[in-house]
Amino acid sequence: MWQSGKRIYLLLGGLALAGHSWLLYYLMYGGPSESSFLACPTRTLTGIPCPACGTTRSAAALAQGQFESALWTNPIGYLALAFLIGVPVWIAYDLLNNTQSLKQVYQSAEAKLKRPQFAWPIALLLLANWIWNIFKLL
Amino acid sequence: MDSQKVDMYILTNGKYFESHHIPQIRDRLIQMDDNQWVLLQSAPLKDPQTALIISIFLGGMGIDRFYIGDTGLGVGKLLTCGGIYIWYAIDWFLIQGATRQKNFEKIQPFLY
Repeated sequence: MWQSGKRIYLLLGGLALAGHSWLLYYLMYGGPSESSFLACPTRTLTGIPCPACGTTRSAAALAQGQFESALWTNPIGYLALAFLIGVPVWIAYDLLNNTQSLKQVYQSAEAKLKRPQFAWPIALLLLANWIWNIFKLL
Repeated sequence: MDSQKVDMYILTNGKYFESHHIPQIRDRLIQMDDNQWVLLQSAPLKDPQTALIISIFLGGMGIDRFYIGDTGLGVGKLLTCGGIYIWYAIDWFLIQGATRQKNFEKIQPFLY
């Protein structure tokens, strides 16, 4: 069951690890000039960028201290970098204190996301970001 | 509850659940109170095949995970471009089982 505690930690930890590896790979081998490798299935299949296209470029720009260019590329990069830094620390905190605060926060956030008053504004924000992405031709 | 009614339910809704859960569901339904029947039938079960089709075409944006009610994972998939192909492809094989698992979780309140 996805809801049981260990799965959530493995999933979030794995996601953070994959994100770090991907960002490291991108920073080391794929500079801004590289365009032959498309990481996004939506973009590859339809030619239209998805709402999250440009997150890697944005997070990489942030990691190099280019805050403004990161914001213009894709604001989701800020979220992604916050996730990459925050989640491992949080997992370590939970492991050390033998608590399950991350799991509780994840579950309550998921329950809140299902309610219309939270789901609609977030969906509209993502939609606006998507339209902006399409116009920017990321 | 009437075992004929239960078998009828299993026949029509069996495809929504893992096969190894069916005997357990049947046992619990037979012990279930009759007035729960309407509630049980109104439980919104998701079709695993629909989930698979959504996963193939819209999995890159996590729509399949939203469809089965895994909102957290859906957001994760959406914000990572479908997990750079890897998560997108893995979910083609996981989504049907995940849908059946979610359906089982949805009818839990009526079983216990």
